[in-house]
Amino acid sequence: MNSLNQYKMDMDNQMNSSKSPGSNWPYTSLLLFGYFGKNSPGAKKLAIRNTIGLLLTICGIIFSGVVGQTVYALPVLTLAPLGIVIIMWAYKEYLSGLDELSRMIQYEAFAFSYGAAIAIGISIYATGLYVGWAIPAIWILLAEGLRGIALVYIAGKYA
Amino acid sequence: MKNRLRVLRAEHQFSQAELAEKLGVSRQTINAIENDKYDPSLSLAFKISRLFHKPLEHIFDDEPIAGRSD
Repeated sequence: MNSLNQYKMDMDNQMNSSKSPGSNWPYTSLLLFGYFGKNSPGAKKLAIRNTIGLLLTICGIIFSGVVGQTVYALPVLTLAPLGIVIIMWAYKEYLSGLDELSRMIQYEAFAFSYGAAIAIGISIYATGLYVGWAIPAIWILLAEGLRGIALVYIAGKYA
Repeated sequence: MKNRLRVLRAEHQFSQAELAEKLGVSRQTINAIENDKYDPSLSLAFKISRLFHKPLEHIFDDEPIAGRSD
């Protein structure tokens, strides 16, 4: 009975306060890894699948310079695209397993990082051309960093 | 959009986590709805309506929140 009364008092306090307690979004996980809590089943699957996809991509890039025009060329050249396809599929599966607000935050972060990374990347590339530096097209890597920052900012709006 | 979710949750003695589990969403989603920071989808709104046996218009009010742009 005491615990029930205590519960009601807690609820009354919550109802009388203007706001509920904070959301406690997993900001560190969002910033560093790009997903909601690294221990959730969906995030673990995403991490494993992304690792496999990344390894295939890296192996494909490394070995494509080694195999030359041998009988192994075709299988090796398919490794990198296959890795990218696995990463894309892993994200699709992860997003479909999220609840509606988490999914919306991920979509908003993708939209922001896509546009911002291309704009910044092209600016850096154009500057490189102007000053004569051979700056590689880095906006793909830039997008991942920007996505983490965008996730933290957008999740904060719903906290 | 204003809503009475926090009041209904308190009446039914659910914690945010319990309500989130019943509705199949995250606790953060419940928190965002209660704080008027997120308007639920139509399907989630109907789930809430069925769970509490209340019509939608009893739970949600489409009067815009001051200071929110959407």
